[in-house]
Amino acid sequence: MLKPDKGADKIHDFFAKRLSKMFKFTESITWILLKRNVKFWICASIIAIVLSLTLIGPCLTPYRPLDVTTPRLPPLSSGSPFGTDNLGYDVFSATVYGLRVSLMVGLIAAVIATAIGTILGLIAGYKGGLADSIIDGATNILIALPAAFIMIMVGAFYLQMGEAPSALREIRNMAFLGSMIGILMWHWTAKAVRSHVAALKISDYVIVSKLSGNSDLKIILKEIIPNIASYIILVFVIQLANALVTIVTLEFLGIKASDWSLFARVMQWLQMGVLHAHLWWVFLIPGAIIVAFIASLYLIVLSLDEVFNPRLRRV
Amino acid sequence: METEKSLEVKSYKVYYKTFNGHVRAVDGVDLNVHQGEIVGLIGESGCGKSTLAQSIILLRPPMEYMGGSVILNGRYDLTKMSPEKRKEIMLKEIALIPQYALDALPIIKKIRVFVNDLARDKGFNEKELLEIFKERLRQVNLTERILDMYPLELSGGMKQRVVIAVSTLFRPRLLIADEPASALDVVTQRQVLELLKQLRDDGIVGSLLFITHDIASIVQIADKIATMYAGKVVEVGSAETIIKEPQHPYTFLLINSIPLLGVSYKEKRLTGLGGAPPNLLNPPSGCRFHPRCPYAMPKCSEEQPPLTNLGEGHSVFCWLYERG
Amino acid sequence: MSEALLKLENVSKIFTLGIIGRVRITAVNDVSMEIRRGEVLGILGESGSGKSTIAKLILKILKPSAGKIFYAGKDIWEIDTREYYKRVQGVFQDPYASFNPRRKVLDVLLDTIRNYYPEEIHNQMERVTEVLNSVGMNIKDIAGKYPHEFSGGQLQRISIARALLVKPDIIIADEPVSMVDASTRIDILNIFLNLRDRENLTSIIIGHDLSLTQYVSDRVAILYRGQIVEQGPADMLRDPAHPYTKMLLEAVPRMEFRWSQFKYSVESVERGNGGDVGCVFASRCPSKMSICSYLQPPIFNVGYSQVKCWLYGPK
Repeated sequence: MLKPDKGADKIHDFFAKRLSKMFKFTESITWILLKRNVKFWICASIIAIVLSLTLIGPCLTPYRPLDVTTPRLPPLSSGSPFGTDNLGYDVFSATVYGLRVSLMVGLIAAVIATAIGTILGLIAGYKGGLADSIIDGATNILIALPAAFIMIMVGAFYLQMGEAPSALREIRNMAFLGSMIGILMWHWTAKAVRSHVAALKISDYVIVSKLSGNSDLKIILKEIIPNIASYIILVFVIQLANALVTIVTLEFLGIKASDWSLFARVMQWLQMGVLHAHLWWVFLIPGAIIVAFIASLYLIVLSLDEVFNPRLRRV
Repeated sequence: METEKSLEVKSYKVYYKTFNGHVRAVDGVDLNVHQGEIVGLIGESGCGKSTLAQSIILLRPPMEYMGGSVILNGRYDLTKMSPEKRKEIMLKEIALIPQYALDALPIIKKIRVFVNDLARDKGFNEKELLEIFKERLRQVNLTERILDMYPLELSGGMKQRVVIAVSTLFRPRLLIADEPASALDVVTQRQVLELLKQLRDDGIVGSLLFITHDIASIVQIADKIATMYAGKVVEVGSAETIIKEPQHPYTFLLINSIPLLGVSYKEKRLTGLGGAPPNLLNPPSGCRFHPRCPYAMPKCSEEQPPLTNLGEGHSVFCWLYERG
Repeated sequence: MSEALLKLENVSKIFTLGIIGRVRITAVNDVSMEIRRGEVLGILGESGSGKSTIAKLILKILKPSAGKIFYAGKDIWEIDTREYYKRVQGVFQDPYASFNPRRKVLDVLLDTIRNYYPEEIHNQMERVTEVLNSVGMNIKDIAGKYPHEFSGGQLQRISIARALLVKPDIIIADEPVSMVDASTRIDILNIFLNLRDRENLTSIIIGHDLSLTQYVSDRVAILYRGQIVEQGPADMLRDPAHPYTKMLLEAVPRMEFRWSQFKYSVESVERGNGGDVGCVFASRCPSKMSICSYLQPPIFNVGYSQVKCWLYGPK
């Protein structure tokens, strides 16, 4: 009898396990509830549309953000679906390239805030004692800090705009801006994760896990993290929304990662008097898009919470 | 001449609507409570007894009415009643002491305020009702100081007695008590049970349907006992008969799994029932108890057993007793 | 006479709530008891009597405020916790809370072998099968399942199996059958008795049901407001010495007969903050003497029992 190749076996097992987990999910209560939740699908669609805009948008337009074409075109003109401003800058390309930058920075900020917050929250909640006091002190300092002020000051100094634009400088700037926002935001996650973990620590099954001889690390990995995973996902999405609000505000004030940053340009347009010229689409369209996106992020968290939290379900 | 029935439940069915189908919590229940009677309904968790009690008072989603009738005091069909009429008769003809009654009192109102609000709701004179309430407090062994306290300040036993006082304000013809004493310590438990019996003896409560899983406490005050298993009533009889000579295998095994005081393991090894109560989403075919029944016959898995009357108010649903 | 395997010597546990002023709650007050090898000790107490605190003290989850606990003659806080758990294991009241809802039950059981008996990993399935059989369960019914797929009674059996896999000398069970259906309670209590007969397992079973405690125990300790008021062989429950135990006996509903006149009052006095003067039961005791309100009674020997009551003092 032929023996099956061990390597192929392993690969087969790998995919079979993942696929069967996916199929199991579709039969689970979570999916069934999710299917019926209208809020979720509306928000998910908006998020998906905006994300596709940022991903493939640039391929759909022949213009780069700083290219000039026919001025004062209204929306839905051929070649300029979002119209142009009074100098001929195309709003669509400004939007899709600009949103890319903003979203990228937001993602960096959310990842950093969630990562730091989760790790510190885990340590504070599980270990308690001295570690908890130190981390608690750090979060209190962060809460007391005037974050907006710091971001504006530091941002203005660091993000030198005078130099010639280069890809490397842009990436450096995006990383910096994202990190700065993330570092000023993690305390929120840490506090939330800490209280969850502290509550889980005294639950019976964690005590039983200790009785079974599991080390602290094993307990954190096997008992605690799986039970806060869905919570962390929600926290991440909220952090992303918060970060985006901050980024848009900073861009308005000129603290931008790139010259293409959308709301820095919107600010410029407003200062150039597009309102006087009745070119309403120039600020309304980017504004509507970002508001819809951020709102969808917050609302999707609400609908996911309804699904994850059995007590909120309306059967 | 037969005494009037305060509660007549016939072929009553209430299911729970869930994603996976219908949970057949109450699946064709017949039960009678006569005026002046205390009937004890025994069953374990998941047998449907709480659903029965709650659905009689107010049937709400996810509970779904699937058939049968519930006649109150020979006059009102509770399955067909309008919400307005229901509100009117609530507390007067029928009252409920729900499970977890300790949380049933609104915590932000002083007891006195709560009673006054109740008076207004029912169209009663506030002063008069308060006087009746004070009388009740005396009967449940609480002082009038209670009136000016908040529920938070009361112990579990005191809260339970307040709930009893409230539910008996209007002298209901039928009082349904769902596990009124399980969360209490054993001494308070005894006092609550004796209190309920006293209220019936004094005529303040016309009749009592007492729902619990604790057989020993039911024996103390019930006239009649009904056993419920997996959504159906399986045996009904006088308290003495059921305890001394239970006929249905479930009742029999249940009673024999309870240790008598003074009898330890060394003297008599007891056995419980094996297995677990069935999932009511997909209950066993035929008699629901057959998977766990040591006396099961092939017929038991095929057909549901009919009612067999054993005389003197003792009836059982079991193929072992089929006549003819 | 079997030796004392576990010994509590004048153990007290005081909780301080330091939010508004300093409120002190004496959960366990000067408790001394011995558990001998191969016996089942029943601790009978109502809610608020301190029984769960005693379980946590024995399991090294809490540290005594006063007094010491000895295992085989050594202070348990001087024994390495991991070594201690190899000897002393626990089972808790709520079977569903004792298991991580996101972990398969079999994995939890295998933890014990991996941690305590790594040399037996190669035949871990046989070991698990054997232990599951001893609690009346079949490994085929367990494999691949999550906690919510079991009934309370089944899950509690699995809980006991988990403890047994460690091969402990003592199992302490805190209200093991309170949340289990009446029809399965006896079966689960019988497990402890079978194991005592077959393997000389020592058990401490905490509960509030007089009949069940008396059924399963060799010796009993009656707990009231943090103090052991009476200890002795289980038979003593038929004719107890201490007034509190007498009151319990009279209050318990019996199937054999209906109640007669009851002469006791409900606990109307609010719990003191520790440091109550006199006997802890004095306010409700029908046999109260004047000394009972001033001085706490010492322990007197009455037949085979020890009773904390002035009624049995020198005349």
